[in-house]
Amino acid sequence: MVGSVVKAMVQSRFSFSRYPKKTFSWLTTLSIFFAIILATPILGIVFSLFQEGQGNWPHLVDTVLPRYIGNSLILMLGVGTGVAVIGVGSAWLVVMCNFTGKRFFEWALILPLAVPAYVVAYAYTDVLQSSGPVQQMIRNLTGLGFGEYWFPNIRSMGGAITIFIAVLYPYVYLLTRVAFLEQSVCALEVSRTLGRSPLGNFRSVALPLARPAIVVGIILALMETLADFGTVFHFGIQTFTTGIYRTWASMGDRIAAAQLSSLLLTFIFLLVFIERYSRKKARYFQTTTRYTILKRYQLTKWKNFCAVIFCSIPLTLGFLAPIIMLFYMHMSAGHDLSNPRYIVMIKNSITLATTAALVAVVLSVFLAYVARVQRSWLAQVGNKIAAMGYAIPGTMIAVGILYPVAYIDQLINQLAKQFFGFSPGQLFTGSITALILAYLVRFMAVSLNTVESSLGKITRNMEDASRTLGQAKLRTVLKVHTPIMSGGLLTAGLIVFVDVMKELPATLIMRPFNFDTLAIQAYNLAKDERLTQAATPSLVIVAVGVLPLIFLSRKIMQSRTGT
Amino acid sequence: MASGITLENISFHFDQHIIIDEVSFSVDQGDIVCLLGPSGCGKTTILRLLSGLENPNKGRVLLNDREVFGQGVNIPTEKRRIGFLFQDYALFPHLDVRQNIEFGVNPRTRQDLPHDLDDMLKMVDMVDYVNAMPHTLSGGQQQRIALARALAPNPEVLLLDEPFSGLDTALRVHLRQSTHKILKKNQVTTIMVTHDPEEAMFMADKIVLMQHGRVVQMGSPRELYLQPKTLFCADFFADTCAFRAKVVEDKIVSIIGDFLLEDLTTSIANRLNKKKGTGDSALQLFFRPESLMITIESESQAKIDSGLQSVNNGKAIFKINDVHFIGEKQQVDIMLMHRDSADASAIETLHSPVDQDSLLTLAISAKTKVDIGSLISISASAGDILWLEAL
Repeated sequence: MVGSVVKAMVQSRFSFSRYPKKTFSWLTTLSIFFAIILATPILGIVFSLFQEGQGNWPHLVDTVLPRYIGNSLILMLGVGTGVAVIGVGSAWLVVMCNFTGKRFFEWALILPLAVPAYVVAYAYTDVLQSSGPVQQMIRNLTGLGFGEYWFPNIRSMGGAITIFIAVLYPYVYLLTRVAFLEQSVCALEVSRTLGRSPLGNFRSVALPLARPAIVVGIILALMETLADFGTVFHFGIQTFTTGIYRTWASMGDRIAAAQLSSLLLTFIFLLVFIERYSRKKARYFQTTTRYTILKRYQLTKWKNFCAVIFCSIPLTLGFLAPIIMLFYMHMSAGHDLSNPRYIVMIKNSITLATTAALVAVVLSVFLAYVARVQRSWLAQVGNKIAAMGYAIPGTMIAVGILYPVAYIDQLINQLAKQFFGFSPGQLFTGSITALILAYLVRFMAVSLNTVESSLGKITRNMEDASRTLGQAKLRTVLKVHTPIMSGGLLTAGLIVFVDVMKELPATLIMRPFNFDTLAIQAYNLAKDERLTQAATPSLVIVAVGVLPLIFLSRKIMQSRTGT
Repeated sequence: MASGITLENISFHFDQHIIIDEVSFSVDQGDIVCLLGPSGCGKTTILRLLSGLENPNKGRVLLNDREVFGQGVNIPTEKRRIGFLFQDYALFPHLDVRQNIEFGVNPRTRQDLPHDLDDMLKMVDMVDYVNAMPHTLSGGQQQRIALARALAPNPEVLLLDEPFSGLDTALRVHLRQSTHKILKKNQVTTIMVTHDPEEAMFMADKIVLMQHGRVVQMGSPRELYLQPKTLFCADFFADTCAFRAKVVEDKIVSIIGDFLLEDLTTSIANRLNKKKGTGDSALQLFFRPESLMITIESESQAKIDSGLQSVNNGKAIFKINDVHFIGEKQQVDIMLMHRDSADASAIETLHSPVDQDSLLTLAISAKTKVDIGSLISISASAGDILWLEAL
């Protein structure tokens, strides 16, 4: 999730003043109320631990649970190692070295973030499977028949790990790049004067200094891996997310699905704990606020060539190749986007994404502003709770929301029957409202962190200066806050918009009956092995995601600590 | 003279922390008052209470005899007509210099102002920067723009919160001179917060010294420096030296010399005589290090000790510990020890500034003399400070 990365890069500088803190007011109460609503899925899952299900839990423990845990661990190990090597290596190259195309790679290496892993999986499967163009070409060139030669199976654990590495390494790249930029001059030059070679410098100074940032990057990538549903489902790898979906969809056991989720929650909390610990440590790693222009190593000949190859491979695997494949697939047998069904799907996707983005931004502004003006620790805690959902997979959020929503529906029906003699049916279950709530739970952190960091740019003294210069509170918000924060609000909205466009599992579980989005269409077509047709909705999702990401990546690249 | 700012019994507290405790003072129109004190003593809070950014728990605030806070009265900040220069200047980053300065100017009443934008820019010597963005300006330039912005709406009073604190020494000296000139020329009633006594003495018509949310002493810079009422006040402005002494017959006897009671003002001499009558004759002497006058007597032979000189006056050993070059003057660290003390531990180290010219003639004399006129105070017991007026 891009927002988490932005959060890590731009830590909010909010601090309490020594003036009275307002612990209780209607504004704080309201912000706590929103926080509790956003914490509903977790509360729902925790609550499920005390519920009696349909008796599937012991069966799950005996049969599939060890496989879910084992597969999830193998995935995490493989993805963690891969993203660390590629992310750290590419970050070191673009920060410390001059080589051909460095300026291009600096921002382009982020682009795989725009492509959902499941879309990449569909593209690779279509091209690399035995009936795909690559293997056909091999057979045509060698004259060998099907099964007479070795070719890696993309639908495997190795294939899934490769795809996750290709699309998730930017998390490590982004954070490590910033860490290298911040530490570089002060520590590295001392190390050089003490006799370290460039490589020795990297090993003994840069890497240990950047370690907290690297750990945070890896953890974010692992969270996304655990949260993924589309890729592992398509590749037939049984993990927690697919297990939760199957338990809910096939066995119809909502309680067992929630109990399975609670086990995944333990995994996630462990990752969150490590991430928080590393992030806390990272704050103390800065020893100076003085920065000078970096002196980069000039790479020539084969070193230059190797650097270009090292940066090209992840960019190609995670972005260029899938885009070309999707485009090729779409051109060869894709759907017509002007088809009324597609128009409806695009409209649905855009409606959901726009609504979620608007609500998320408005709510974020409210929560961030209340925490600031009220100077209340309660509101601060509320905001932390509201942002907790970023670590929780969509499948779990869906299961976690369905339980309380179904309970509310049941309650309303009982009360309506008791007082008015009729049952209104399921008001919230399977409604757009519940789906938007799921998106808010999942992506609130993205929006809240971005809004908080742009609010952090406005110092308390700026607000006070405006007041002493004759502007009342509302006019101060209009003349000072709004223009300074407009870029941040736009960014927050864009990120949520793109994330919602890509979101699959929560939408799959919670969407209203017969309500399809582009992500659902891509999933359905891929599920039916109509991969070529799946390229069309996938391409639209990527196109929507890539434009804001280019804008953001350019903006991120322009920022340089200390300049 | 009419009062520009009046604070009456202002108190401000929260969570059982008393931030401001019964503070009262007033500022005459056109005067500059400096709130001086250590960090956390409540100086900035006074400015925030005055401007309405925080509300006192009790008391009254009057600006140009108009009550802006009091029983049932609380005029909002934006209507108090206050200029506020913040410590970090708080320039708006999305506006250029012109827009920053004009931010507080109401377009409808602009023509009624005694000055326009160009006047403000000229006043702070920033005419060439009218279209510059704040982040392109140096700290000193930002300070001047913030000052112009605070003065542009023609406020009734100006509040300055440590306006020179983030600047280097040379720039600080230059800016405080120019700011003082601007404020005096425009007759702006000003309260400035600072923790630098030298800055306060330079800028202020009156200094209000604060400690733990209370006013310790207020008066002209000269009064506070030369006639401090408390040890805290004496110490805050400059180093003081303290010596134990006792009243014996008609003299104050101390390790640094004896003083005749008849040299003191009558009232103090009377009090000391009374003290003598109680049988408790112990007291303490305080003076500024620069008051220590060191003379050489021919019969005294300087005793060379570790390359530095030391000598005794019959009661104590004076030893020059170190000499530091500090520009126009030299700082001489003199250690004072009991003559008969076996461990020769220092009872006081004096850091006395001495003119460069006197370096060569400087030696410790057998007889050290403190001019009675420069003896700043005598403490008969803790908290009992008697001011000795110069004779």
